[in-house]
Amino acid sequence: VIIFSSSSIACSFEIMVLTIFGAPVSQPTRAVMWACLMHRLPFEFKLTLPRRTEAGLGARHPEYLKINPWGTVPSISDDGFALYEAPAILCYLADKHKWTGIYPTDLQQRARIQQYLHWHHEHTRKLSAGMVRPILTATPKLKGSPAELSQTMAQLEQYLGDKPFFCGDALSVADLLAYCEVGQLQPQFFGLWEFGPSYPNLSRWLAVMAKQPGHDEAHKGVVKFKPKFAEMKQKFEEACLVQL
Amino acid sequence: MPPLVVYGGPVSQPTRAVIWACLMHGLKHELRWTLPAWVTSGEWNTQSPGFLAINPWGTVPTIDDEGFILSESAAILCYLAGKHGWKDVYPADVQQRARVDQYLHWHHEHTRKLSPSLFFPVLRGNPKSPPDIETATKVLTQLEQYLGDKPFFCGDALSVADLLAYCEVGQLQPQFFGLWEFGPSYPNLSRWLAVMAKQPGHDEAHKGGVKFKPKFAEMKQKFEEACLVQL
Repeated sequence: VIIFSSSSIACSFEIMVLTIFGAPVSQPTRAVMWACLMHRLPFEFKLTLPRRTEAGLGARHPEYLKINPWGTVPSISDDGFALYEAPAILCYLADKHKWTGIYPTDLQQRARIQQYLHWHHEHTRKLSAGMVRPILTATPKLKGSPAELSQTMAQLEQYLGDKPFFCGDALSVADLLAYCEVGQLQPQFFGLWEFGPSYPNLSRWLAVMAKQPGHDEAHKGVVKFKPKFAEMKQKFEEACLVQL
Repeated sequence: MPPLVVYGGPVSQPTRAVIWACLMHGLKHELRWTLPAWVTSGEWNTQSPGFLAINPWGTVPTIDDEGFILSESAAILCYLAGKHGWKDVYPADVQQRARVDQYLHWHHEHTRKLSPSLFFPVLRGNPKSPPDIETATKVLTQLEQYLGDKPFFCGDALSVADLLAYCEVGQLQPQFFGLWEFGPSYPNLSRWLAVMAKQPGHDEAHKGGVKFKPKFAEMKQKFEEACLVQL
C-alpha cells in the first residue's frame, strides 16, 4: 500500500477516503493520479495489474472484480463508491471536489471537453495500443502500422491547433488524459516518437504540460520503469526483425 | 426553422440516440441527412468539404445549436440534457451521473463494436469481411452482465446510456434488421429491450430503420449468398 500526498509529511493519521487502483504504467491511471496530485487530494494507491490474478495485486482477482467486473484499470473506491473508466473518474472527482478549473460547469465548455473525452477512445488511445502495449506484452502482431500512428498523431496536432490546450484556453481533464498517451512517447520517458518540427502544436503543448503541478510526481513511476522498458523495447525490436 | 440542427441519418446508430432524446423531450430539431460516403450515393456526405468545415472529423451525429457545433453522440446527449434540464436521463446527483458517464465511456470499446461486427458487413456486402460473430457474442454477453437484474443500465431510471445502448443492441432484433436471436440466453437484455421499445419517442426514432428494413433484408440475403460462395 503506497500513500501519496503532495505535502512532505505523510498523512498517516488521515482516513484515506479515496483509493485508486491501477499501475504507473497504465496511462489512464496516471491521468487520475495527476488530477488528484494537482489538487492535493490525498489518496491511497493500490497497485493493481491487469491480467494478474493474485490477491491484493491482480485485476483478475475476485475481490477486484467486485469493484470492476472487466478487470481494467484504473478504478476507484471513494468512501465505498466504486467507479471505473478514467474519464468518468476524472469528471466525478472534479464535480465532487469542485475542480471547476479542469472541468468547468459552463455548459458549452463542458461539452467541448466531453467531446474530446469521447473522441479520445478511438483516436488518441491508439497510440498506447499501437506502440506501448505491444512492447509490454511482447506481441509484435499488435504493433500499429506507421501510417495509422502518423495519422493519429496528425489528427491530434490538428485537434489541438493553435489553442493553448485541447479544449480552449484552460487546461482540462482532456489534456491530462491526452498527455498520458502522448507525453509518454517522448525521449525522457519511453522514447517512442520524435515530435520535432513536424508537430509544432503538440511540441509546444507538451512543454507546457510538463510544467503543470503534479506532472513530475505523476510520472515518477514511468521514469523508474524506463530502463526496464528500454530492455523490453530492444527485445521486442529484435523479435520484430526476426519475424520479417 | 428549429434552432437545433442535427447532422446524421436514421441508419446511424448514435444519431438515432440523439434524435430519440429530442423526441422524448419534445425538443424540436431539424435533421440534415448526412451519412458516410461509403453508405450513401448522394453528393452530400460526411466527406463533403462543406461538412468537414463544420466537423473536421467527418462524423455523425454532429449538432449545430444556434452556432455551437458539437460532435460525439455521448457529449451531445449530455449537453442537450444539461441545456434543457433533462435531469431524468442525465442525473444531477454526482454519483448517479458518474455511473452514467462510466457506461458512456465503456460503450466505445464494447457496445459500439456491434455495428462493425454485424451491421456494417451487410452494408459493405464484401464477403472478404464477413460478420464477426465472436466479437458480437462476447459483447452481448458482457452487456447481459452489465445490465444484470437492474431495470436499466445505470440503475432504476432510464438514462442516456440506455438510449445509446439500445440503438446498437435494439437494431439487431427481428423487427428491425434481424441480426441476432436474443431469446432465453439473454434474459436481462430481452426484458430491457421490451421495456425500451415502450418508451416515448422509440417508434418515431426508429421509423427510418423500419423503412430501410426491406432494402436491408435484400442486402443481407445477397451478402449471405456471397459469403457461402466464398466457403
